[in-house]
Amino acid sequence: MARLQIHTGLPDVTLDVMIPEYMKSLKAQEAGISEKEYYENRNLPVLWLLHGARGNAADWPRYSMVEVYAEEKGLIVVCPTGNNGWWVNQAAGIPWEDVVTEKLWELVHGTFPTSDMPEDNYIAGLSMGGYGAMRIGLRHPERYSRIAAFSAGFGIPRRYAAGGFNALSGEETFGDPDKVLGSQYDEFYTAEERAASGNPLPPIYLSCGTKDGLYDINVEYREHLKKLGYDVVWDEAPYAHEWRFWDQQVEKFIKTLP
Amino acid sequence: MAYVRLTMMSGRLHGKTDISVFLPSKKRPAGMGGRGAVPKASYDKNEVYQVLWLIHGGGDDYTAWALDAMIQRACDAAQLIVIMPTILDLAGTRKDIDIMGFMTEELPEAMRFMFPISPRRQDNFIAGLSYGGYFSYRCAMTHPDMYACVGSFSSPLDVAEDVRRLHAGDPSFDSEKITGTDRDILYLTSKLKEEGREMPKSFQTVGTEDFTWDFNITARDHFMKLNMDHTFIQRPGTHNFEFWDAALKDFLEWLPLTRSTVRKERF
Repeated sequence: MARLQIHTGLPDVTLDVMIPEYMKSLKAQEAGISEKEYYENRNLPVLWLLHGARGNAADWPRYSMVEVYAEEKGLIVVCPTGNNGWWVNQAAGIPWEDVVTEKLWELVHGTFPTSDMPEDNYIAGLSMGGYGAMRIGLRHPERYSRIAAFSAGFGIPRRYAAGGFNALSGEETFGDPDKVLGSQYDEFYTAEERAASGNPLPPIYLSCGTKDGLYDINVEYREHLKKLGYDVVWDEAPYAHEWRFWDQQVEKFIKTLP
Repeated sequence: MAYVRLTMMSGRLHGKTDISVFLPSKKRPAGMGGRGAVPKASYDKNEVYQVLWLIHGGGDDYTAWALDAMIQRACDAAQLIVIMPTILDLAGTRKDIDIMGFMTEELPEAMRFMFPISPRRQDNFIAGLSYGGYFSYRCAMTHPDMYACVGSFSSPLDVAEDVRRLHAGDPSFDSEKITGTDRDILYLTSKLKEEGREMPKSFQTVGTEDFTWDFNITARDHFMKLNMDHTFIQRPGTHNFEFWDAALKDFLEWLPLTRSTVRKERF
């Protein structure tokens, strides 16, 4: 894969992009496909991959082997930086959801050899990025057709509403605690809203380590989705909140893609 | 303007190589100012940009034009995609890597795949500073069907003379082995002229205090004698980025820029 580290020119937003390349595609070379023929297809699927809290665009490329898995699949990977903004349009901060679904959507699809059809765009993330991918994926059927969340930070808006979460930009992000539940920030509500929208429901990949403090809330979210009629693939393994687990998970998720 | 640092695997170089890329901002409707303010939903997969292949000087790399020069805003205004590769062998003396194959075959294929770049001759320009300008002329005059324009800034275009005077005794340079080969710009241009082939329009600039002045002048006189479509600009200055910042801006003024994207259906 070619690796692109991008200063986008948009305030606060950097981007790490990985694009399959001929010299690393043994499959194409063994099949006798020439460089020119290989590069003729400028219509590749895209995996949007969101980082966790205290992370940035370089986390996925640094700590996982996603490059190897995506290379085998012929997939472009896009990793944005979203600071500690929970990937939502913050109550008093940056509109991260708009950044991802509009500004970066334009930059990525206007520049790189991608398909911009929803059936070729998938969104996934870990921890805070799992919450973000789930919420953004459910709210934008016109953009993404598959969603994955690993060790997702579900239940944070609920804790914030109850006064139990004040770390990591809670106030800047979610605003008035009395108005959070049942709002656009409440991922349980988002799943209900999508189920009631009449749009087809996307297949969902959910997973969490059994030693992770977020295990119970992820199980609860899985049951919530199932009750609403979503098709959920679940996976778990004896891990805590850690990269060894997320590396395995991103490989498994990529293998489920068409 | 977006800045990209790209790392790719090259077959011709047998390894990874780093490249800087400038991507122009979308042109903004009047009144929409501000850094990074782009109009909504404004991409089109059928729009491609003109491209400038921009080469650093000897011993330098992909960061030279991006960091040492101050040319980003001028490139943005020109609505060009600028590709700044790392060229490890500007003089063409190494046997272990195929620098010409990289620059004129592998890199264009890969960049046209990754970025919205026009493949048409009339939208492709190549230029460089010092030995990078010599290398640019070598690419353009061996592949006159690929580039519409070529530029050199303070470059020893009469490279055989440069080698005789400044690199005598260096075993990797041998002026006798340059004259009359595809490393000799004077020979390449004479040959194209003889064959009656269309040549890229050429641009050459050098500072009057530059140590490459003499090998610029002999090359210029040769191009004039051949009656090439050649532009020569001299200005006070020496061999530094202050000069090259200004040179690049002159070069952009001189290029046949569309200053907008080109629709693929038109070619």
